[in-house]
Amino acid sequence: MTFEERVAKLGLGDPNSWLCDEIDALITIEDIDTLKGMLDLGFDQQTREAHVKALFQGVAQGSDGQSALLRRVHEFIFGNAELSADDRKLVESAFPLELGIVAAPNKTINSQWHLGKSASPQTIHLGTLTIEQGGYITIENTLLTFDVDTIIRNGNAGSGGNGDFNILGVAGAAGTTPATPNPPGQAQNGNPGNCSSAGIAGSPGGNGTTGATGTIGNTGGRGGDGLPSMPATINIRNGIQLGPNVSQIIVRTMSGAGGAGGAGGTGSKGGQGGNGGNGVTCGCTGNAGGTGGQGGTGGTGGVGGPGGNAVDAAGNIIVNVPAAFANLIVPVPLTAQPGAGGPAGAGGSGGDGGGGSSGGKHNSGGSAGGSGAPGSQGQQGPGGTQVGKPATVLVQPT
Amino acid sequence: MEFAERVRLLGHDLAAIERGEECCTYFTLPTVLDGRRVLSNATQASRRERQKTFFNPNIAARRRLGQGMHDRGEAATFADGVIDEADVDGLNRHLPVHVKAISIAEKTIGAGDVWDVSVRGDVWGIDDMEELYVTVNVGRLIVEPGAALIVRGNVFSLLCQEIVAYENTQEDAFHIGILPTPFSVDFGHGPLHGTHGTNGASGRDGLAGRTLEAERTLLGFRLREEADPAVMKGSAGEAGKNGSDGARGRNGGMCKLAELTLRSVTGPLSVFAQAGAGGDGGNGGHGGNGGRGGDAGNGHRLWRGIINGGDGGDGGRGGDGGHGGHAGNGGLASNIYINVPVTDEHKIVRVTLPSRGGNGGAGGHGGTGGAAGLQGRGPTTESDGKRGKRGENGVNGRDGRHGKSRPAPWMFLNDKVGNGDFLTPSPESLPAVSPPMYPND
Repeated sequence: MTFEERVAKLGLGDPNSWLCDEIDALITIEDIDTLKGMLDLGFDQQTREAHVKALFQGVAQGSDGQSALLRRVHEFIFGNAELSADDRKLVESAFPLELGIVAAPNKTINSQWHLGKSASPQTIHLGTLTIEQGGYITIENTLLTFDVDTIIRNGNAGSGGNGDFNILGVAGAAGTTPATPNPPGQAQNGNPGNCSSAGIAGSPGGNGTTGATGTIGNTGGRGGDGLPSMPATINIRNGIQLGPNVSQIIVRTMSGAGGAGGAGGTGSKGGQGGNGGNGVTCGCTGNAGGTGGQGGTGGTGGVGGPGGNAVDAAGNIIVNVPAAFANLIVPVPLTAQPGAGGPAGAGGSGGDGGGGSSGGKHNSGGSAGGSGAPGSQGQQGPGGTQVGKPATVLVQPT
Repeated sequence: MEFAERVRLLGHDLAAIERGEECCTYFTLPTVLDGRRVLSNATQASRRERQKTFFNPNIAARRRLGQGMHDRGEAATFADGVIDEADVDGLNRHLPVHVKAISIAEKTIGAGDVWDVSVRGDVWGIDDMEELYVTVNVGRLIVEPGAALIVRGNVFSLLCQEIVAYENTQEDAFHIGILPTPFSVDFGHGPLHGTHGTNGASGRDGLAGRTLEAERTLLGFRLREEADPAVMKGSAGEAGKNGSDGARGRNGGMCKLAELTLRSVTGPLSVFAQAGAGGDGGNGGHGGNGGRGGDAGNGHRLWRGIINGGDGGDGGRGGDGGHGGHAGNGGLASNIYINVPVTDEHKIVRVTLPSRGGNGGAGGHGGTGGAAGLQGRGPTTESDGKRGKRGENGVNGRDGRHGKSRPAPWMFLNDKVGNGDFLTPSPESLPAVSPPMYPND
C-alpha cells in the first residue's frame, strides 16, 4: 500500500488536499473492531500470525484474568484470532478510547521526536522520514505502530547514547523523603527562686532540665517499580538511505528501571532545654537565677527507602524491512536496573539550649544552656532486587 | 548579775565572755522541764498570765494537728502549761531538746548587718524538721540603723540586759525579726513553688495516602496492585499529648515561738514576725497540637472502571492542658512574748503580718486540633474522595486554687496582747516588707 492508500484507509482523505503538511491528532475509537482496522498494516493472514507471535515471544504473561484477556485482545488486533462474545463484552468498558495518529508524506526531524509517555497507542504513517543530525525518535511505555515508506538518515543521534529509535519503558518514581518529625517539647524549666520570708532570700532559681533526644527520622519512601516498554512495530516499506559516514539504524530498547529509594528522613531537632528559673528579689536582697538546660541531642536520621524493581518488557519490537536493508538495523537491547537504596537520612540538629534567667537584687542571672549535639546519620536503604529484561528486537526481512 | 547567772546556767566561760568573746555552744536537754528551766526567763506570775491566752484562736485552731502537741509542750516551757498524759509519748519522740546557746557581754550589729542566730539540724545530724531551740544571753545589744537580729524557724529565747536600737530610716525595717523556717514544714516534698507542668508534644502528622500504581495497556490503564482504598486514605493525625499538671505549692515556713526578755530598752524598738508565704502552684503544661491528617491518594480512570479518590485523614485531637497546681497555704505562726520594763513599753513597736497564701498555677491551654487531610482527586468531580475532619481542640486545664492566708502571730507585750502599738493588717492589705538587713545593701 502506498502512503496515500494508507491514509485514505485511515479516513484521512487525500494528502494532496490537506491544508497542512502533517496531521497529528488524537482520534476517538468507538469499538474494538475500529481499533483493529486503525492499527492494521495490511499484512496477509500468515504474516499477521507470525507478527503477533513475534511480538510476544518470550514475554511472560501475567497469571491474572485481565492479563490473559489483554493477550487475547492483542492476538485479535495484530493477528487472526477472534474475540469471543464474552471477551467483547468485557472490553466494551474501555471504549471510547483515544488513539494518537500522525500522518505526513514527508517529515524531517533534527532533534528528539517524542511520541509519548504512558500515552494512548500511537500509529505513525509517513511517506519519507528524514532524520538529520541530532534527530531521533523516542517512545516510552506506549504501544507503537510506525509505518514508513523510506527512511533517510543523515548524521547521528548526537550525544546522550540514544539510538535512532528508542523504545523505552519508564523508570519508577523515586521514593519520597518523609517529613521531619516534630521536635520534643521543651524540657522542664527550673523553679523560680523564692524568698523564705520577707526580706530573706530562699532557694535560688533552679537550673533547667536537659532537653529530650530528638525523634528518629522516618524511613524513606520505596522507589516505584518501572513501567515496561510496550510492543512496537516498525514497518519500513521501501528502504533506507544512509548519508555520509552513516552505517546503520540503531533500535535501542530498555524497559523501565526501578526508581531510587527516597532519602531517609532527617531526625528531629533535639528538644529545647528548660529555661533557668529566675532569681527573685526579697526586699533589699535576692537570689541568683538558674542556668538554662542543655539542648537535647538531635534524632538519628531515618533509613533510606528501598529501591524499586525494574520490569520486563511487555512486548517485543518487530522491524519489517526490505531484505536488502535488513543488515542496517542494529538492535541495542539494554537490561533495566533495579533502583538504588535511598541515602541515609541526616541526623537532626541539636536542640536549642534553655534560656538564661534573671537574677534577683544583687545577684546575677543564669546563663543560657548550650545547644545539644547533632544526631547521628541513619542507614542507606536496600537496593531493588529485580532487573528488567529488554524486549527482543526482531528484524524481519520482507 | 542575771547575765552572769545565765552564763553559768548555759555552761559558758564567764572569764572569756568578760574578755569580750562570744561563746556559742550546742547541747541537749533531756526533758521538757529542763527546757523550762534553761530556756525561759519568765516569772511564775508571767507564766500564769501567759497561760490564760496561750491557746488563743490561732493556737487553739490547730490543737488536733501534730503541731498541737508541740504547742502544749511550749506552753509547759514558756507559760504555765502541764504536759498532758496523752502527749507524753509523742513529746518523748522529740527528746532530747536540741539547743544552741550564745552568750556575749556586748554585741553591736553594725549598720545594715544582720545577726542571724538560727540553727539547723545538721549540727546534731538530725532532720531540719525537728524542733530546734536557740537561746541568746546578751549583756548589751546595740542595733545600728538598718541592722537586725533575726531567727529563722527556731524556738527562740532572748535575754538581754540592755538593748539600744537606733532609729531606722526605712519605714518597713525592723530590729528583731522572728522569721519562718526557710523551708516548708508540711508533709509534702519538693520545692516551695510547684514545678510547672511540661507541655505536651505535638502529634505527628498523618501519613499521606498513596495513589495506586497503574500501567498503560492497549485498552487504557489498569492497576498494578490490588484496589485497596485503605492505602489511598490519608491516615489520621496523631493526637497531641496532654500537658502535665503543675505541682502543688508547699505551705509556707513556720514562724515559731519566741520569748524576748529585755531589761532595758533604748530606742523605739521594732519587732517583726511573719510566717512564710505559701508556694505558688506550678502552671499546667499546654496540650500539644494535633497532627494534620494525611492527604489522600488520587483516583484513576481505568479501562475497567473508575477508582475514586481516597479520603483525607482526620486531624488529630489537640492535647488537653494540664491543670494548674494548687498553691500552698501560708505558714503557721506561734506566740511571741516580749517582756520589758513597764516604763519601756511605749518604745516597743510590734508588727506581725499574716502569712500569704501562694497563687494557684494557671491551667495549660488545650492544644489546637490538627487540620484535615485533603481528599484525593478522582477522574471526575463526583469521584473525588472526602476531605478529613478537623481535629477537636484540647480542653484547657483548670487553674489551681490559691493558698489560704494564715493569721499573724499574736505578739504579747508584758504578756498582754492589747497594750502598745500592735499592727496586724488584713491579708489583703499586706505591705511589702523589705528590711535592709543584708550586707551590701
